[in-house]
Amino acid sequence: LLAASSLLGQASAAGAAARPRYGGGVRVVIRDLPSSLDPASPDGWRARNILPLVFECLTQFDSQARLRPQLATRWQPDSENRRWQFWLRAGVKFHDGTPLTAESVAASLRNAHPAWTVVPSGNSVVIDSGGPQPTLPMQLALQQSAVVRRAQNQLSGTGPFAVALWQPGTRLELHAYDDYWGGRAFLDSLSITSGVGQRILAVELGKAEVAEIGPDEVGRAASPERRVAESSPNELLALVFSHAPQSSDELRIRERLAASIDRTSIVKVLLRNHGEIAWSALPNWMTGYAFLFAPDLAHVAQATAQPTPAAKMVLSFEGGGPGSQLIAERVALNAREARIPVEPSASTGNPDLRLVRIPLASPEPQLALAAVAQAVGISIASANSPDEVYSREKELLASGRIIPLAHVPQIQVIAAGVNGWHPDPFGVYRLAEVWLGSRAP
Amino acid sequence: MSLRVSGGHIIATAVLLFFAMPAAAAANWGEPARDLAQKISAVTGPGAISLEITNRSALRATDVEQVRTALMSNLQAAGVQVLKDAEAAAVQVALSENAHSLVWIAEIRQGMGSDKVVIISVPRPAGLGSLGATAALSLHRNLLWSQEEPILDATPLSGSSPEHLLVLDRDKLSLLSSTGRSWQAEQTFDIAHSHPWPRDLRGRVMFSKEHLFDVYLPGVRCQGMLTSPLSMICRDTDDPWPLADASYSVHAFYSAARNFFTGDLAPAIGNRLPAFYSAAPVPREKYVLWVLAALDGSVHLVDGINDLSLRMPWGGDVAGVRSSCGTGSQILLTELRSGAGDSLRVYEVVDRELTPAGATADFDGPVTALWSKDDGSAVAVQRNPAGGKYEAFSLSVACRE
Repeated sequence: LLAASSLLGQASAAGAAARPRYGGGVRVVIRDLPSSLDPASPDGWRARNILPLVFECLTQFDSQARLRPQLATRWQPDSENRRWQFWLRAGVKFHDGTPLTAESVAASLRNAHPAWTVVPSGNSVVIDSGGPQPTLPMQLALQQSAVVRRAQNQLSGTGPFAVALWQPGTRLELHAYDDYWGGRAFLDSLSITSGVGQRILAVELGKAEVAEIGPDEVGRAASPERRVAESSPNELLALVFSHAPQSSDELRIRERLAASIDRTSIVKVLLRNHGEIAWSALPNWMTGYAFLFAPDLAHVAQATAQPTPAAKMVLSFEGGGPGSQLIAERVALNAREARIPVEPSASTGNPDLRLVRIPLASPEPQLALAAVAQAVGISIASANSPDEVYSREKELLASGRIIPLAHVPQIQVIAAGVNGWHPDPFGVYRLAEVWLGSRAP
Repeated sequence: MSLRVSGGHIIATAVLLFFAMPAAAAANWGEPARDLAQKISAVTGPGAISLEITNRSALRATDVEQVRTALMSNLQAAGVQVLKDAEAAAVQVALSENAHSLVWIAEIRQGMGSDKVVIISVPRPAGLGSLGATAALSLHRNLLWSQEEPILDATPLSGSSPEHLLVLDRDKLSLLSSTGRSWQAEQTFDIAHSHPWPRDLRGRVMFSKEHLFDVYLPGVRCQGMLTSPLSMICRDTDDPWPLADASYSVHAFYSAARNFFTGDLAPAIGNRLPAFYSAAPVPREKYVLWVLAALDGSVHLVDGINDLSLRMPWGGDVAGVRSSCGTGSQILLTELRSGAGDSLRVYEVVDRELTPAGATADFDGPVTALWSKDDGSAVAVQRNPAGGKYEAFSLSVACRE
């Protein structure tokens, strides 16, 4: 009876409490803000979680990685998947009040993809990519394909929030866009700042409602007054070499280094179990075949030829994110055990290899793999089937340029009173649906 | 009810499942099976192959059997004969999944050449749970090990490199080591006991600060010793079993001739408790609330002062897990699904009430063991009705909303 009343109580409470409230503001502290809000800027990926609040694409991925319409309502390819037509949503306005038109979309896409031919056609745009592009609708969901109106050195988007204040790299103030085509956001405003050190303090001290945190802070973050949200593992923590192996011996050294690293300790101890061991560039939740890349360690250990490097390798850990120094030290320790001298360094000078976190740009494996390859500094051919994507990934890993260590999630702590928070598998802040409840700070 | 099943019940369940299987459903997998068979035969050419199919997805055992039948039929139509010990080509098919579809992979090994991999993507059928489905929490399961003999418990040795796994069955404790893609037996320890085991044998492996690990069985305790190689000594004893990891320091006496704890605890928690199958702690700010699965099907919430009894449709086993979501501490309870295997449902304890947290894991067969682990995860064992093997899964709760 008690349990039944608990469930009934929940149901009735849900009925009463589930009606969202309008008003109020949420303050967010994140790891990085970019130097530019332009989705096409080189460091725009630093704001990949928040830019969708301001700028939207023709297509988008939903929380189950399925492609969905956004500013386009439907699309159609020709028989060769080369020429695509996208019909635009009616009634959409940029934040400066200008209506979204086929011309404005075409201008934005030409800026983002100079190699494409984009032509307005009535209430649609026709894109000719120059060759078969079966993944083109997915490419249009990438941040760099966001529809941006550029006028008088001002960027204007169509998202649920408009920019009120922008201090590059440090502060972004947004206000709800009343004319948003999808319905005005519940919140009136958002304040997003970048913070170093323990961002959880901002939430603990009541100075923020949402903060990005590292895995070492999760234990401290979870409490009745706060909750923790975690994305799917959508960043690749990896070692990236500065140059291709110059000889077969150098390639074997790198293979031995890859096999020597104790990924279990890295994930279970250093990342506090917030992540997954990686032998592949892409995580299994994205491809379904990541397990194919797990090596037969016994076979590697039995390899007789074990060349050693002529000089120690310098490992820069500056770009490795939270806990990167400890991870680099663990790598160096394992490497020494395999008679491969590796010296961790905070310097970014001219390292032999770098510990990096590579954002996986899209839930679509081919596009995510292209992003990894680009971060590594090599190009890969396009792929049109799962077999081909697997082959490209295999080639990338066989290049000797990258050693995957772990796939890691993005983690946020959220204060009590913040309702409607739906963590996205890709870590996008879907703050248009958030509202403040009675326990709002 | 669902948990303490006899072999006869399991057979009956399997038979029921067989006859309940809709014959028309096989057609659902015909097209993708044909596509995969074509890709395989394009690599192997006509001739004999060996075929092994592994399910790494949410597909149910009945679906897997239908896929197997359809795949073999299409291979045969392509001139490929599936034999048990064919030497020409060995094909390992993995029925996997990603966030939005099923992914079927065939690894083809021919002679000494490098493996060839072919992959097809299969639309996820309606009704099949998806990765990343929206829920307050999600319950992840990962197959650790399967074997013919009943598995009583399985414990990954966290922090060991390479990874190790301890698997307990009625006769032995096996130490397995990871080769990266599979486990291989490294050492086995026989379990000596002077009394016959009770029916529905249960046992538990727990880490020990003093001596690597302890194994608890009815009337028997074994201690693992950090010697080289590892060793284990067993003795008859009625020593109480730890109810949770060492930080709780609560032990319970287990009936040497039955399958439950007697209700006597050391140290005691309040008044004498009813006999129970299993227990899980829920740490609160200033005390620990214990959730007990009693023999009469009720669940007791016990804090040393109050003993609150609840009745819900659960199976009889309970385990605690830790996570970074919600209150940080969740309870897994077994539930019997009508006409099928067991489910595990995640609950949170809010104000002394068990509240469903939205996540479940469905099993094809009965869950025969469920134990909490020191690292905050849990291990569940099911008897798979297809083939009858026992399968140990690691379970962990992840945050979703």
